Amino acid sequence: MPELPREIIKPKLLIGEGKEEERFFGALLTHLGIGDVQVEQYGGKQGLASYLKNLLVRPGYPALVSLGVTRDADISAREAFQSVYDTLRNIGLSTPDRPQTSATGRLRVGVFILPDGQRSGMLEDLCLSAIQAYPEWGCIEAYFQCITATANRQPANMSKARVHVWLASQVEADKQLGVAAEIGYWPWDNPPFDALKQFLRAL
Amino acid sequence: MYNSFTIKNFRCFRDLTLEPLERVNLITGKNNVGKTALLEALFLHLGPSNPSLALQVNTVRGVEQRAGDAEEMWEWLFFTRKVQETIELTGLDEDNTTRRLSIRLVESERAQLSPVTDTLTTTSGLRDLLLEHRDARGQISTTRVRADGATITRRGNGAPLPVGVYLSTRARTFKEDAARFSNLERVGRHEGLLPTLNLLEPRLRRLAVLVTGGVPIINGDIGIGELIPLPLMGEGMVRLLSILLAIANAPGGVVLVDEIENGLHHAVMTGVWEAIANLARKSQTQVFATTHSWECVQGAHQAFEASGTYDFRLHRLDRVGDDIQAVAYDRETLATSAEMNLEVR
Repeated sequence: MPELPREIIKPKLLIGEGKEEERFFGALLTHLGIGDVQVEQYGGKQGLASYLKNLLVRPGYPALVSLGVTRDADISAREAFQSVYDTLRNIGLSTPDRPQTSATGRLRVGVFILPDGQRSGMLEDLCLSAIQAYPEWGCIEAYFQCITATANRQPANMSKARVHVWLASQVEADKQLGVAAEIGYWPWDNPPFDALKQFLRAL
Repeated sequence: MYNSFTIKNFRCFRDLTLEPLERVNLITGKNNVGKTALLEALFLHLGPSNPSLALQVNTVRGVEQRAGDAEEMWEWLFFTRKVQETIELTGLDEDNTTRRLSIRLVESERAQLSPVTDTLTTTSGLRDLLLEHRDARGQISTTRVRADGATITRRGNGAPLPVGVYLSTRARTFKEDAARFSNLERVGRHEGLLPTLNLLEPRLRRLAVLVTGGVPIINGDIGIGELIPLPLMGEGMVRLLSILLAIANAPGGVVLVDEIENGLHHAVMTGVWEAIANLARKSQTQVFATTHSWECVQGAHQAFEASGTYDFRLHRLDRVGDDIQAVAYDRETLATSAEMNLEVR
């Protein structure tokens, strides 16, 4: 049976780049016991402007009180924030002054740049930060050193590769980042997640 | 062609503006937000000197008028039944000219003897319906009608107006359809309808008007040895042919279709919209239709996206407090909705 068109049914909306982000944030919100935030994805960085323009005409938008926009920093957290800022301003939404904060207005708008608003990187880097203190972290690093030495190759995106190796070492070895969050593989109580949790609570 | 349309104090609308308008406009929204009322307002605006329309719009909703109750029926035309206000329907055309119809109840010019009864009560005076139309050149014409339906006075003649056709969900228009079909057959355009009807009935190879029981009715040849009345081929067939005939017979006019998806399988919606788009462009007819169907919305978007000319707009009516507001979807917002499966209705 085809999926029903998605409606805005909660007063707060958190948006991420893709499906994995949607599942990841949904799992974290469940962990935090936050039930009034709806999570959606905007189809990648290029889709943000179209998604936000569409948001303004969706049924339920007038009742929305808060919007959280998340995005990977990629090579520069500053540039990523500026890009989101420009998109919000062009659409006519309120714009926060800096990442990890919210701007007040008819609709409160917050922007969170992953992994932490400062460094380059992505959601995967935030997750890796939370497990780097674990003893098995050395195993992950050793694995890639071995591959590099033996096969003379290295993944283009080391953060994604490290996450895959970490997840491959779990009891259920075939899970993606988002499903892993739903299962409980990411240690939510570790400090690297604190800023994101604070952002979600403040939405 | 309307570029925008404003409704004040009519039915559930205190003040609503629908814009921008395109060649084809699809209206959506939850129940009881005024989708049908919007079509009624357009219909009244298209026939400003025809006072019977003010009662017809109730009749096609299934509210039958009894003798002497026209005043009460008229009162329900007014926003929250505030009859002291004036209904204003204003259309802005593509040539930037404005045409306005004002409707109000006024004290009747006739006297009435109070009926002799045992109860002593005072009654308010009788009222007439006054329609005042200011055309695109600023010329004013008025029509005053009594509750018994008699037109009392008509003053002034405005410029010719576009044809308006209203296809409601209830009314069956077999005779009108037969007449419209005959108009097309007279000029050899009737066969152009067949490819679209073949979406619903691939065996259909010919249409003809036959008189059955004194009533002209369109019949179809599906290769069974004799023609069969179109209504026997199903609700969708009749509905689709009515829509196509209305558009083809209203060159430069406006066709209003309530719940356009009725009787049509979702798989044919894109093809149906392609046909409507082509016919509306060819006839220079503007179309307003309502729907509750997501497949209908998607079908329309796909058809206009593929046609090369996106002369289509989706409008949703939302209730915000006591008011109704309109939200318009353009090509980009509708494409995003379709791609991401986001609700638009």
